[in-house]
Amino acid sequence: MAMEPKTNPPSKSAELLLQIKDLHTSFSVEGQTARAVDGVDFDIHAGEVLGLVGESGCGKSVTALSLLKLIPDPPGCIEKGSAIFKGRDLLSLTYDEMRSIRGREIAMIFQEPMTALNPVFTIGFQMREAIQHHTGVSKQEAIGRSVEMLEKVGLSDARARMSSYPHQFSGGMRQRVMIAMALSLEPALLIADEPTTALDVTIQAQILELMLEMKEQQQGASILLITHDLAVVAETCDRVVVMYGGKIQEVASVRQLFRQPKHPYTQGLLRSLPRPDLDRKQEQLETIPGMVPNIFDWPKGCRFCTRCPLVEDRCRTHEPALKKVGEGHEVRCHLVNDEDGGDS
Amino acid sequence: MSGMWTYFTRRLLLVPVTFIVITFIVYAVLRITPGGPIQQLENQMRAAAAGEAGGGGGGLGGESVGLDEKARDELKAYYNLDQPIPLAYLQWLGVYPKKTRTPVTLEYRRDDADFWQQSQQLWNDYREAEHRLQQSLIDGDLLVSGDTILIEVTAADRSRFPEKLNQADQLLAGGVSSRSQLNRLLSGLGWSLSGSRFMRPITTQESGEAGIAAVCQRQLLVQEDSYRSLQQHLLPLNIEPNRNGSYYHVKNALSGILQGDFGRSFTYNKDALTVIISKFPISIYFGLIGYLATWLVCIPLGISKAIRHRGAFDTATSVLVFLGYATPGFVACLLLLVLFGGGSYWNLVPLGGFRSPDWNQWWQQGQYLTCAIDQIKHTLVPMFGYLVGSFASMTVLMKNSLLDNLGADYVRTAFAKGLTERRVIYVHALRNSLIPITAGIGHFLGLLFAGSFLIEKVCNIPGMGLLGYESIIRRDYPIILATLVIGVLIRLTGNIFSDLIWALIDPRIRFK
Ligand SMILES: Nc1ncnc2c1ncn2[C@@H]1O[C@H](COP(=O)(O)OP(=O)(O)OP(=O)(O)O)[C@@H](O)[C@H]1O
Ligand code: SF4
Ligand SMILES: [Mg+2]
Repeated sequence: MAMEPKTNPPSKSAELLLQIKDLHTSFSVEGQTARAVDGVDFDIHAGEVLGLVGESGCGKSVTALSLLKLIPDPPGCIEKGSAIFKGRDLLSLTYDEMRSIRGREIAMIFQEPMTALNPVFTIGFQMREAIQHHTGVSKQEAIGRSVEMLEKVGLSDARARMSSYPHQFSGGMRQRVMIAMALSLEPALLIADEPTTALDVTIQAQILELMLEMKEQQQGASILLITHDLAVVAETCDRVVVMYGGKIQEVASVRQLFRQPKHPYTQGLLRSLPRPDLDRKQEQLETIPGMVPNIFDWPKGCRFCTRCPLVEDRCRTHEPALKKVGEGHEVRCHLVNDEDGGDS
Repeated sequence: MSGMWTYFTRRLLLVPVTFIVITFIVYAVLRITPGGPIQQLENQMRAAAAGEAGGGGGGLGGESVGLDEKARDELKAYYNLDQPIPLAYLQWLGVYPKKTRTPVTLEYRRDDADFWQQSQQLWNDYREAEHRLQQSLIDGDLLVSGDTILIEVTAADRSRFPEKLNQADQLLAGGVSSRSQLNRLLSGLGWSLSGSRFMRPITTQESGEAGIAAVCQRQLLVQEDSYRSLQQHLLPLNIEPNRNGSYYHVKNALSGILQGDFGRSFTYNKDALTVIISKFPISIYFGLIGYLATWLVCIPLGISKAIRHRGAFDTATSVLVFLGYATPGFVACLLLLVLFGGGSYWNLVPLGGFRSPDWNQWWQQGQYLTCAIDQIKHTLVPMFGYLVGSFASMTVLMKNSLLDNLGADYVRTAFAKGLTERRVIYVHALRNSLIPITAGIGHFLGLLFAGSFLIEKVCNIPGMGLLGYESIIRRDYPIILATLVIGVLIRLTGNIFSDLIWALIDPRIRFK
């Protein structure tokens, strides 16, 4: 079925920017091993916004941090896997090669704008140090570039604000600064780990909009947006990766995911989302019952079997594989047949 | 910036309040604690008397026996102990006038020659009367205490209180240890002790007779009369004489620590401030060097331990840290002195002191190298003591502080920017982790001043710690209080200094 014409061709998916294969990252805590990321494969295409969603603790941040080898070691360890970025495997780069990627090729912004900036240095210092470090331009040039970026992210009086300290900014402004800092070297990939979770709702929307706007200005840049908020995904992403228990459960375009969620976990997530198009009185918001299983002792079969409403016997003993169910749509569940995906 | 200024003005305004509260409490406690200067003086006199008794031959002469009421009152007035505590405190502070006595200068006396000629005459009369009295006292084997003549207890007295006297004899034989008991017994009878003899006031019959006792009694009256006329003569000029022939202007004036008057040390008989200032540089010298050594050792060590957390180096040096926790500084000093002080092992360092006795001589002879080596040798052991004293806590503080910061989000951001590990650690994390350590500088300034009494004792360093300790033992109020005043001031300003430094490092404080 590979020859079949694409019904819903992802317009920007032509060029592969990052290809993650079989990523395993674990932490050893008091003699036990937490397999936080346990065999993750996905691709990021040039110019797309890819959402990475899942409940707290499912391994989203660890996946992202692994890509930049920012996993604290000890206790963490990237055990195996590869991440081919522009033809090079990020995970087997030397320390210095990795440093030249960080910030320059792949930039990252974090959830907590309150603590992600160093409290004792000025915004200007923190903005320009990466620019100077990677490009070797003069201090004046770096300052100029920083001011330009701060203006772009909508900071009024940017030049004066360069000498301010992080605590003099509101959370939203700090996140703007983080975005300006991350994009100042025009990276090919921006990893945003829950960039709006700590902000209040009106600011959230502004920051997301800003990120998309900035991405548009930068031709070909991609964003990996980590969130547990499906509403955010619906508004901003092109494709989505759904994670649960350290593994990918479903990969789909946003449209596919919201129209035809295949995985019981994804379906559960969607049911817990308020739907403005339905009558509110009828709508009963559901949450997925049960708790995330112990990370030191994942269930033997399907990771979701302890909470899945459709669980069968084989789910508890045999782990399902990630199956292609359609163009760009993959699901890890025994109940899903791969025939309609039609691989080879 | 204005926020910072209001913050510091507020801090500064708190200084006098804290200062007053602390000093008042200590002042009051000192006044309430038994064993004040007068008691100390009496103890000394008794010990001296006992020593003399033990020594055998004791001249009687003008030797006084304990303090009589008059002398005691005079001393109380001199030390300002006759005032109620709050008032005396205000006088000590220098915000309420107190009676001050300043010596009359020769120049002043030159102005009114006639008046002073007369005074001299009166003084001579007094001295003559006193002299005559002394002579008679020696002849009659009598003593004088205040305005009463004392005579040795007679056989008749002995038969009146036989048991008490037996007891007294036994106590006297008991030596210095039973002296206070003896004194109590004797004062119950209205008697006192001189050397090894029991004395009692003469009776009216005795003084009425034509004997030597009566002569003494009359001469005593003459002596006191002539002293009184001298006092009367000087009174219009507000001048008081004393019994040694000195004259003092007496006036009510503000004279307390605010005016720079810290009082005279009882033990050194010098201005308390002068005594302290003479000890100050020594404590500062050792404290500063110890502090520098601590910084130089503990900060790099703490950093390396944090970077190699749980590595071999960290584990190995943790043994040192545990040893440091368990070893007080002065014990380390003792150990070093035993090992290297020339006793049974090596002779590398002197046993203590600030410098060798010949130091100044060497310096004058231009032997600067010898001087330097000598100074260094004397410095090593105390420096090591101070280092050991704060080694463990300082190292652990540095390590934990850096470790905390290395786990902070902003460090991850810095790494994500592609900065080198060196830059992330030494620029981003280090500056934050130095905050708690620099915040301790002010507090440490206070410690510097105070000196470590134990280390100073072990290493025989004549610094502030030793001075403070000794002045407490001897109830040398002016020194205790002056040490306190300077200590409190240094600590309070030190705290503000810490805050200033903190504000320099940490902008969150600067702008709040
Ligand atoms: N530094 C660490 N030490 C030990 N375990 C860790 C560490 N970092 C992550 N883990 C483990 O990895 C698991 C996944 O963590 P991760 O931060 O990736 O979750 P997440 O999906 O980003 O969740 P959230 O939405 O809360 O950010 C956690 O449950 C935790 O047990
Ligand atoms: S494999 Fe079984 S348990 Fe897992 S999601 Fe599918 S139905 Fe549920
Ligand atoms: Mg996370």
